Amino acid sequence: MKKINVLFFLVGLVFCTAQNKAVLYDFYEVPQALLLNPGVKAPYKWHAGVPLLSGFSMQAGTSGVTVNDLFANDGVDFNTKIRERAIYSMSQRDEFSLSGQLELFTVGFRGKNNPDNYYSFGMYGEGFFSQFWPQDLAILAFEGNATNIGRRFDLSHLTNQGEVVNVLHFGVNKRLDEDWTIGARAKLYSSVLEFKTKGNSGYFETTLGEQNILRNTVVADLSLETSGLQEFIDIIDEDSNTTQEDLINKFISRSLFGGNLGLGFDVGFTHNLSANTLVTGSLLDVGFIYHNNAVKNYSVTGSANNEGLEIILPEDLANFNTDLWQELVDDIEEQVDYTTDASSWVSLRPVKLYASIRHNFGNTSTKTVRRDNCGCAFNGAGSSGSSQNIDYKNAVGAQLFMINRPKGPQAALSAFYQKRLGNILALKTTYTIDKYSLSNIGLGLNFQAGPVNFYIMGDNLLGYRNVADSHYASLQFGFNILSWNDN
Amino acid sequence: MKTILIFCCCLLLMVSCSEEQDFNQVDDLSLQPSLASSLLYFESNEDTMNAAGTGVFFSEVFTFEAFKEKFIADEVVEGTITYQIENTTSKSLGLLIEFLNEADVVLYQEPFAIEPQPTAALERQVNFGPNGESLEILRNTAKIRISATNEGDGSSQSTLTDPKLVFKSSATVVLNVE
Repeated sequence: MKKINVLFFLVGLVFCTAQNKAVLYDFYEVPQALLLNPGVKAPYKWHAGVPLLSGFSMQAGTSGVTVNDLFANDGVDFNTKIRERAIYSMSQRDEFSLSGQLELFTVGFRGKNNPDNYYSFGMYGEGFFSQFWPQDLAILAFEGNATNIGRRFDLSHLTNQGEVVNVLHFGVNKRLDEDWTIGARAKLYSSVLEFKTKGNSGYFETTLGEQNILRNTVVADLSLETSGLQEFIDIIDEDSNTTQEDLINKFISRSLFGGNLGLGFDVGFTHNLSANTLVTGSLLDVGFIYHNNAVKNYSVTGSANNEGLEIILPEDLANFNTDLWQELVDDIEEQVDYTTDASSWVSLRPVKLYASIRHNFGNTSTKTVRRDNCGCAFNGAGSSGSSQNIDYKNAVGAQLFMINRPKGPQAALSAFYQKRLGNILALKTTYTIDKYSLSNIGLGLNFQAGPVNFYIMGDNLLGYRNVADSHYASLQFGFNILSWNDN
Repeated sequence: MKTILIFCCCLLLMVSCSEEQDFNQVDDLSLQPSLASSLLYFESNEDTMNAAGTGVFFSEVFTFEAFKEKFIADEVVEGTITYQIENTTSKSLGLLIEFLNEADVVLYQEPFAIEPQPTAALERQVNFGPNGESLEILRNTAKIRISATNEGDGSSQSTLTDPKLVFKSSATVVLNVE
């Protein structure tokens, strides 16, 4: 067994997952929980993230083959592993995905005139890549068509999506009364690049021919929409002395609203069902990006069949065309049209939904907390002195996460246990089931040392016993400076 | 004690184990797909043969660059060409298939002597690669010449409906993609 650190794993692993931050959700000692539910309890007077270090997260997942399945030094022939563990084991529902987020800055403060309001704003960049396994195309590439006469290879298996986007946001969290906290966040998206191919259809098929021995048929309705990507490709193609610098400048320029723009919002709430039981919910990234800058779209549409070159006498005796090959190629290209264009398009953001039910218990001064359990009694007269106005000692509950993906919604269900150890340490552990894993145990730790807040969270800890064999891994951490009361 | 606990927890998250991985295995990846397609269909009715009389009634050279496509020329390791011929005319016929390079030099030829009907359909397979003709033939083929000869007379007529010579062909190539 070889020790490697998580960073190496995350860099080395290309596959990642579904953007579910089960551990962070409703872990409201961490200000970044506001990004997952703008209506979460916000027990802070103010907070400021350490620039570039306040929120870093990466998630990686594969529902099919793992790194260890293919690259373990086990003496099995690599081609055998590819054939048995990938080509013939995975389906078009299997997905590799990767997502990451880096918070550039974040600030939050409680309103002076209205202490029930907590305002927060900031900027973060995030990237996402998803590739569904193109099962039929993989088999076609691996075997070819000669041994698959009569088999129809489905071109709709070609589905992938990726983006890099910068988000400027401003949110308001408002305590309505003792039982209700609601929140909303407006978002301005600046797309650096995006590409997607989905909703494709068509097939390729080889059958016995009607005239000749074989007939190859292709029916295609494929499209790939890109924005921003071509600008980076052009810089790389130039391959000048300033390529690296040019790439960075282009990235910064497109990040800071020099690319394609969009709007969106998050909403959320927390509702106390009783003194110690509460439900929460949030809907995130309801929005769109309008792509009209550096757009390049590709499409292949049409149908054609081919039984090779054809000479029929006496019809071809007169004016015999000696350029039969080019004629055949031209015919096929005419029937299956490949085009590129720069038409603008709109991409909807991947809408996410969180919901939870939670029960607090343990030896805490519930009555006091009941009055302040929104955590918003911060006008210099906080009831708990130097305490953090946290309303629980222990908590258990369940969470639901859903996200809209290229092939329909995906869901994850989590059970969690949360515990506070004094005012320094809070801990949350989750058990999550989703398409990637049925044994996903996550752990999050939040430390508070004076005004300095540090959190670190990871998912699928059992997978870390052999991280290369894990179907899912995630890591997030960050530093904040915050004031719970009059710190 | 609490601090130690905290650091231990951190360490659990930050450090993980993995079986030994060998990413250089990707260099061993080798795909060997077999691609198949029809090549040429040739058909002539008996009236055309009679009109031309004894001797060559069709001979033409035409471009054929399928094997010169880069992904085939670079990766082909094996090939098979299948010919199928059916003659329902009353004549003995000759058919010659020649693969030519850009300079019209004959690289390979396949002659067929075809008996008049009634005769069984003829099928022949020719291998290219380790157990057959040189793969360089396929890689350099830019044109095909087909020559059809009437070995009989210019007046006989088969009693079958729509008598004709039908020539079919297909190719299967095995690529080695690394």
